[in-house]
Amino acid sequence: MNCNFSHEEIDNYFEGEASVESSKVVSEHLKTCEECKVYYSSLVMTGKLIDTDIKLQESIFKNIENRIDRHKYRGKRRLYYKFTNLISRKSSILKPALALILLCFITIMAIGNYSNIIGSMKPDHNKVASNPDMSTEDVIKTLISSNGGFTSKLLVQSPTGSSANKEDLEQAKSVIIKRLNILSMTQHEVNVDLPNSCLNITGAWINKNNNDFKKTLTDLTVPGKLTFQETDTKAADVNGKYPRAGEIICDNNDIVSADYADNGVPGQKTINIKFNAQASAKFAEATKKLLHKQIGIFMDDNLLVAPVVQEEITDGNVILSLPDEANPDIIRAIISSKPLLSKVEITDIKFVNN
Amino acid sequence: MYEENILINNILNGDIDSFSALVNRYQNRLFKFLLGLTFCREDAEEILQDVFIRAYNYMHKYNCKWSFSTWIHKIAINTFKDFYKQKRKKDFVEYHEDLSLYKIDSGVSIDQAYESKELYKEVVEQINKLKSDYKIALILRCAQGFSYQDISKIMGVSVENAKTMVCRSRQTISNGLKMKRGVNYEL
Ligand SMILES: [Zn+2]
Repeated sequence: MNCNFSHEEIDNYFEGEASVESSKVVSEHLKTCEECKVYYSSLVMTGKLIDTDIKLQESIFKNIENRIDRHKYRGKRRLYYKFTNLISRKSSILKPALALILLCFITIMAIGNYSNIIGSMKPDHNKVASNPDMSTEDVIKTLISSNGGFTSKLLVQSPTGSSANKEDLEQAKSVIIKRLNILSMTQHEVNVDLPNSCLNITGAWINKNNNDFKKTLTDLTVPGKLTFQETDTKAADVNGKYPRAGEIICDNNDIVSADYADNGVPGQKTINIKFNAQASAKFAEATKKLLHKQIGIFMDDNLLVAPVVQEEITDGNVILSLPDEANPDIIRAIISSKPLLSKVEITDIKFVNN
Repeated sequence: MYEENILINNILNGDIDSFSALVNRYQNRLFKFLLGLTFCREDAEEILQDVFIRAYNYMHKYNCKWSFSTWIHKIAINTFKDFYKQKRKKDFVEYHEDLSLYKIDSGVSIDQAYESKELYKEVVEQINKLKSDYKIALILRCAQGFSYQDISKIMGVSVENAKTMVCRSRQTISNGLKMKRGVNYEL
């Protein structure tokens, strides 16, 4: 009882996707071969079980009606359109109170998540700040008073352990800003405090569901060096993780962009990394060499994942599937930025209206 | 597709009735999907509610270059995984004996009906033994009728990988039944 008839052909037959010829062959074969008949039966049973026609008796909308915010989208776009109309007519009849309300909406929308809806308005954080009437500080202050926010002090120590110089602080600042920008949870400002070797951050929430932002900020201040390396799969440690072995193939400096593999899905755990040309070539070579073997992807000293190379990757596009416990938003923010060269530590964080 | 985009557009303009229409349009299709994943009517209904709530809350992030069906299935998968994580059910080893789910062909004797119930129970057991990604791929294919291209998009794997997962799942189920029953099962 060891029939070699192709199960793929039987699958196609079962799904009604086989050619007329192939269907004939399969149905003839099923008449005579017990083994394949059993396989086919299991397909049919599985199909019957999961392809049910059980339906809900009534709309579940009434069950969720009270659990959603009916006003979430109400009025926002309409106001926007009204506003543009007013502008295009160069109207001077905008009443001060109305103007203020509209301005608030526009500010919130411009830095919020409505960029997808309103194509012309990109969420350029600096643009809001460049509004001649409002400094960044003012915008953040206004937002903090309505949405809440935080202030935090980060101590920066230079790689050599001495207190940080201006360069160290500027490097840390640009990395932290980049990470916060990608995270898009806040509208923020980061200032260098050279005498104290510190960075001062002031941020306002864009969305209010920032539970445990202290942890988020802590996670964002790791060095964040992402490396792709060979791993020694025989030498798993007590946690079942593998130590690194072999050379670094690529790291953050080679990454052009890191996006969710599919934009707009909450909790998406796959990140699409795009390498620059030089790294793409290196990566192609490495994946050719490591075909059907594991490649280790490390964040600092921790192994993030060690996927098996399924095919040679020549185009420099790598889809990174993160483990369930990973926070994709934070990982994306970190690998989109350069690694932090200095040691950064939160020495103080305070929350406002939170 | 076009109609869906109109509904979504209306929702983003604050029209809640359009959301209700969208729910009605998708609820049974997603219910079937979740029943396949859970084999439990209660869980499926609970998850389904959460799926629509998430979809509503993230609607402004929906990008119409993706089909809505693909998008909401992805949400359903994430919600399903989170649901079981919260309940601390590990890899869905428990399954619910909701026998009303099993279709028994009419016109069969009680003995036969009992026998096929038993058989279906064993199939359910086999499906539940699959790794969750394999199970998801199988159900996307067999119940939801997605192409392998769509499955690859939904699950973020290659087309080849999606195909392999479905094939392996079927093979595993069949082998599992064989182990348990010998080769003497038929419909
Ligand atoms: Zn055969």
